[in-house]
Amino acid sequence: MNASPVETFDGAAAIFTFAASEGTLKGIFWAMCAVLVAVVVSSIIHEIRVGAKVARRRDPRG
Amino acid sequence: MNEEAVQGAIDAALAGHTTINLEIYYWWCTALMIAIHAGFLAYEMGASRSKNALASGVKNILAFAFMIPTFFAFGWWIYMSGYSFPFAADGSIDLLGSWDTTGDYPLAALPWSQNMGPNLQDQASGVFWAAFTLFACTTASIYSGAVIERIKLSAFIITAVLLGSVIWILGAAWGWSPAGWMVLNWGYRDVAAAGVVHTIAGFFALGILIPLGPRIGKYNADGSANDLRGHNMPLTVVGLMMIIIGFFGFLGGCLIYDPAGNWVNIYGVPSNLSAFVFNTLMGMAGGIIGAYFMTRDPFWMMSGALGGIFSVAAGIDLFYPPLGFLVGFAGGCLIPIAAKMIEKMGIDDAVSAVAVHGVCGVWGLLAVGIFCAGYPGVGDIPAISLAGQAKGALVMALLGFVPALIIGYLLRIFGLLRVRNEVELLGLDPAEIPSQAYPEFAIWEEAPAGIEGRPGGRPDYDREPPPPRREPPPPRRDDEYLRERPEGLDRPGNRPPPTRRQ
Repeated sequence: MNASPVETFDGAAAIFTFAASEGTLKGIFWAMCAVLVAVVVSSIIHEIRVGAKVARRRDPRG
Repeated sequence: MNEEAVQGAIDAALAGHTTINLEIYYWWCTALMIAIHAGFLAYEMGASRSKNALASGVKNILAFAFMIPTFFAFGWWIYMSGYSFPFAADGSIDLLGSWDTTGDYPLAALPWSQNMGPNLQDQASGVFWAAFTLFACTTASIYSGAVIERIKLSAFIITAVLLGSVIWILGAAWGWSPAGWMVLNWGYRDVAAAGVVHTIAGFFALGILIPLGPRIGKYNADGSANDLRGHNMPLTVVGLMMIIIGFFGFLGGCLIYDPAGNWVNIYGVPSNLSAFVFNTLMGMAGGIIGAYFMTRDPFWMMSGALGGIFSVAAGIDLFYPPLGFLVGFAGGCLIPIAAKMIEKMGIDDAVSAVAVHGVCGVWGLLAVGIFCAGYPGVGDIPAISLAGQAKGALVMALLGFVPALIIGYLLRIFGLLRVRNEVELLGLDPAEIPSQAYPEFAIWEEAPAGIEGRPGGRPDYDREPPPPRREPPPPRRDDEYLRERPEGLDRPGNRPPPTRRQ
């Protein structure tokens, strides 16, 4: 990894800041995917938790 | 400097300007398409009851946000590599081997390729990826309105990603690319994505609606339907108008500005923006008037505007404009009829997305087959035919419907598709959203005891709601209104009063 603000990749004209190898790019890519999956999972857990709590409340229509 | 050198300098300058024009054009098409999502946001929030308004908005915002990284991750690659899936070169079915994994375009579309990021030698990948990403977001927004007020947010995100970053873009690879097998075999023509976006998204919504089920209160015990009106019709109508504005970016993005500076459609056939705008406006006008003719209702009129545009979309560069008007008019007439039929089938489509997008998309594809049959293609692409269009419409409808039905039932089996009945009755906003759409008004019947307050803006659900400010006045009888009417308004035939004589 190179922290240079402008870094060439494989000698071509692609410019990737802070990323100089394909392995690094893949690592960042999979980290992004992990964040997306984690957010969906947290949303599922939140909905289950909220749903259970609302179900436990007393019926407003008595 | 000799003549050749001067000509070379001129050519180089022109090529540079062409490239920059291309970038600027798709940049602003993409920006304009965001108005579609602002419109869908307003539309669906207004079409929700006030207890669900913010939850509908959150759904739209997150669909937008999830679509962008997932389309980067795999959507763009699917478009570049899935044009012959699932058929191998000899025509046999080959689910794995039919993907093009070695061509220049698929390799360039890999999320870690040099083209998928800042690159001084590639001024096309970014803007084309962005335009297609916004098309993907549009499919998710189309679907989202149908399922408001009872789908779980997580289920919506999963299904929206499936639709926007997998299903529709696979349909686009098949039928919205000069290399697509539907194009090469059937001459399928769908210039502005009536099938690949609207038919797929509309029928995807239908596939989710069946396992999702209707909202509580939509149907009576005898099977008759109730009209669960949204809380803000003006917001809905303005949202629809914003969607129309955004579709000018969408439709503009359906034209290709080729490296030589010429306009061609997605199939490489010469075209131009003038052709597009003639039929966009004429189709929209026809759709509004058709829906007005059928219903006199502003909601359906604005839906008719969209339906009219989608009806002409497949042949937007070919129709004679008055024909575009008539095609749009037919689309506008079809929408309320189709919506009523779907409602009678026990399917609760909250915003009639299936009718507006699915049905008008199919009608638009068939209209091209009826009115433009024989129009030639470029290269190996056959001429337009009604049979090709009908088969294409069927494939697009099934491509949207079948995966949605499967994923919908899978989510339902695991209890992940729909919110609990208690949450639906209470409202998704008070149960799940840490802010209120209308905090000045007490819209909750009772505070949901058991949900603790959270720091950071989540309301304290244990707190007793404030009492209503006053009792609403009793409804007045018709004769009370009549007694207050100004003199002259109750004349026979509702004629205006005579003008005062000088």
